[in-house]
Amino acid sequence: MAFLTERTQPKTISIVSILALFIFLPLMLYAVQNIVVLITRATGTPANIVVDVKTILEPIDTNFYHAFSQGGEESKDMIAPVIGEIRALRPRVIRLDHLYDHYNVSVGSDGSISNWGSLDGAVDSILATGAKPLLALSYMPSSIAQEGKIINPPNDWNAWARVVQQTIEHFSGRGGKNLSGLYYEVWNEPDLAQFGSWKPGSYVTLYHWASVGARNAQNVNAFSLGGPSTTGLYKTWILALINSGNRVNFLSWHTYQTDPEKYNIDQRNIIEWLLPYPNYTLIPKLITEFGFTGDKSNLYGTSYAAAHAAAVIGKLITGSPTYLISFQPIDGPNQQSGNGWGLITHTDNGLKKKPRYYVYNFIDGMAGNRLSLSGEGTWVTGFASTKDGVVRVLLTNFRGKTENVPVTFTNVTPGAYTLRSRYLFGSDTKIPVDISGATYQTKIPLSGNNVLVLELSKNP
Amino acid sequence: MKKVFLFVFIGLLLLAIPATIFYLGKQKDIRTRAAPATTLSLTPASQTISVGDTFKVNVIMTPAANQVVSADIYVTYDPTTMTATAITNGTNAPRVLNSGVIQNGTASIRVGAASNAQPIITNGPVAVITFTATGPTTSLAPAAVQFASNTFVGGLGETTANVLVGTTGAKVTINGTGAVVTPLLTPTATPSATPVITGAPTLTPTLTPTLPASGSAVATPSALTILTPLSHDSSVSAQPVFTGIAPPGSTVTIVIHSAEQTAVITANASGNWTYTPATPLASGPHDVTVSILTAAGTTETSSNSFIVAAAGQGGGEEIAEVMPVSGNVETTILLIAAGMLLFTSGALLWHF
Repeated sequence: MAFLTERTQPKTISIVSILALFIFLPLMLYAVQNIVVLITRATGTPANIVVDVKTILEPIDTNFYHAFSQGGEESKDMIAPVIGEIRALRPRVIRLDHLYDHYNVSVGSDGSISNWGSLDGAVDSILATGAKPLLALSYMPSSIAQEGKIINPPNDWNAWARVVQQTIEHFSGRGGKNLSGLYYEVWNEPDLAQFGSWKPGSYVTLYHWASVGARNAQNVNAFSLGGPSTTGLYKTWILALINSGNRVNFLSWHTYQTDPEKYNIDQRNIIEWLLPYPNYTLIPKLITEFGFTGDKSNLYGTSYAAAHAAAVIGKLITGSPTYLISFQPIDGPNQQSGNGWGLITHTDNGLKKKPRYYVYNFIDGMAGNRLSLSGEGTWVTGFASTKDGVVRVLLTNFRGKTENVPVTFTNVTPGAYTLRSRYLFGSDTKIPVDISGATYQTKIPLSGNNVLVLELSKNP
Repeated sequence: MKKVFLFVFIGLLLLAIPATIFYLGKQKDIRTRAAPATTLSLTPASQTISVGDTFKVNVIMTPAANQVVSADIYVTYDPTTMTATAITNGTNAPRVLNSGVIQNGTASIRVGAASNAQPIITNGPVAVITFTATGPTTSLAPAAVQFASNTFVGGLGETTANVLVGTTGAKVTINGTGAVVTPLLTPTATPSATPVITGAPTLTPTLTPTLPASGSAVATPSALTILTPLSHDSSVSAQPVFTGIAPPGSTVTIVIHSAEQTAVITANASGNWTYTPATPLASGPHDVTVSILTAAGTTETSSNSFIVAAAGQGGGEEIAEVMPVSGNVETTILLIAAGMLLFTSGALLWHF
C-alpha cells in the first residue's frame, strides 16, 4: 500500500477514492437495506389469542367493506361484464372516476352538457349490481379546461360549476335518474402530478366552484358532496377543506399501505384532527381507494392480497370509516401476467376470480356483537364475535409463516360443543369437544396469507 | 304637532320595553345553552368486590343544555389492583369513532352521537369499561378510577369545542378473599372422549382408516387440515401437490372427486402429510376430501374445492415475491446522508 501511495500522485488517489466511493456506496446501501429487511422479517411476536365469551361489546358492522372502486383503464363501462360476480359481493357503493373524459360526455364551452354518452350505461351497470354509484367529479372537461388539458383548471369557473350542477341534477334530480343518497367526490387524487398536482389552496378553489354547482342544483334528492380524495390522509388538506366554508358532507382519501395498522392510525388521526371541529367530527369518512400498493403487482393475484384486505378490515372492525373501498372490481386489459388490481381478471384473461374476491363475504360470517379478544401477534391478528350463542374468532395471518395459534376461550359454560375451523383457503372441519371447565384452549394451524374463522357452538 | 310626536314616542317606548325584555330573555337563554355544561361521572360511584371478580364501570354523561356529538374518554386506574379488559360505547353514544385502547393503568375510547342531527342531549352511559380485580385494597384506601385531564367532550354551537366542565371518578374496594385469579392460558378441556356420532361413517371399500400409530396421537381439535391446494384456487396444476396436517403417524385417506382417485398415506412424525396424484387431473373443478379415524372411533374429515387450470392458464401467482420488500427507509436516508458527508469531505480534502 505504501508502495502505491509513494508512487501515485495525491490527486490521483483522491480521484480513485471518489470513484470507488461512487461505486461502493450504492452497493453498501443496498446490502444494508437488505440486512434491515431480513432482520425486520425475522423478528416479531407469535399470536396467543384469548377470547372472553362473556364480555359482549358493540355490534359489528359488516357493510362498510362491501364497497369497490373501478379505475379507468378502459374508456368504457368496465363493470358490465362482471355485474353478476360483483352483485354476489353485495356492494353498497361502487365508485367511478373519469366521468368527463371516458364516457363521451358532450360538454359545451360554457359547461352545458348536451349528451351523457355512455356514462348512463356505466351507472346503470353499477345499479344492476345492487350498489349506489359514488361519482368522482373528474376530470375537467377538455372543452372548458385551460389549454384543453383535463387536469387543468377551467377557463371560467362558472363553467365548472355548471358541469357539476348538471351532473347532480342528472343523477340525483327528480327529473333525471332520481337517485337518492349519492356521494359526489370532487376530483380524484388531486395531489398527484398525473391528475394536476393541485395544492390545498387551489383544490379549495376547485371545490368551492363544485359546491356552487351543488348549491345551484334544482329539484334534487338528498346527496353528499365531499373530498379531497388525496392519495393519502393529509391534515393540511383536510383542515383546508373544512375551514373553507364550503359545503362538506364527507371527507375522503386513499390509502395504499401494506401495514394494516396504518389504517387504524389514520382513523385515529382524522378523529383527533376533527374533535376541535364538532360540526365535522361525525360526517362520513370514506377511504375511496385502498390496497397494499398503488403499483401494479402480481401479489394482487394471490392470497397475499386477500389476507391484506382481511387484516385491514379486522383493524377497522370497530371505529370503522363509513366505507372502506377496495380498488378495483375488474382488471384492465393486457394483464395476463396477473399484476392487475382487480378482484376479477379482465375479459381478455377469462374473468377469473382472484383470491381477494372471496374475502368480503367470508368475513360476513362474523356478524354479531364483538367480543373482547387479546393476544394478537405481529402477523396473526383478528377479532371475535358472538351471535345466537355461537362464538366466532376470525384470524388472519398476513405475511407470516405458518403459526400453530393457541386460542383460549374464557368464561365458557361447560358442556358439549362443536368446534368448526373454516379456512378461506383450505378446509372446513367440524369436531366435537367436551368442555368441563370455564376455560377451553385449542391450537389451530394457520398458514401465511390465509384467513380462518374458528367457531365454537354449544350442542343442542 | 308636538303631541303627535309625544304619542308616537310613548307608543314606541311601550313597544320597545316588552321587545327588549323578550330579546334579553332570549339572549340569556342562548347564553345559558351556549355555556359548556357537560359533566362525566363513573357509576357505581363505589363498589366492593373480591379478587378475581369481573366488574363493570359505566361512564355517564350529563350534557345539561349542550348538544354533544363526541367524547374522547380517558380513564386511569391502579394497575396493581385491577386490569381493564374491555372498553366499548354505551347506549347513549351509539357510535364508536375510534376503538378502545387499554394500556397498563389507562383505558380510552372515542365515541359519538348518531349524527349532528341527533346529538346526545339526555343523561346516560356513553362508555362501559370491564375490569378484573387482581389485587386487594383496604377499605380505608380503595382503588380510584378517574378521568384523565385530556378527556374531551365536543358540543355543537358552542364558543369552545370542549363542553366538559367536570368529572367524577369512582372508588373500588377489593377484598382479598375472592376467587383465585388463574392464568388464562391453562387448558382445562380436551376433545371429547365420547364424541357424538349421528350416523355410521360411510366409507367406500377402498378406505381403510386406521388409528394413529402412537397412542398419544389422538385427533385434537382442528387436527386435520388441507394446506394445499388452497380452496377456490383456480390455477392449480394437473398434478398438484396435496399437503396438510394430521395427528402424527395417523393414516390419512385422500379421495379426489371428479374422476375419483383414492390414496391412503401416513402423516409423518411432525403431523405433515403430502400426496401427488399419479394420474394428471383433468382441467376443471375438483373436490378433495381427506379423512382420519380418531382414537375415539369417530371419522374426522376435511375438504375443499379447487380448479385445475387448462393448459396455458397457469394464473398469475408469483411465488418468489410473496414476501414484499419491507424495511426502514430511515436507515437508507441516514446512510445516504453519511455517504454524502463522506463524499463532501473527500472532495474538500482533494480541493485543499
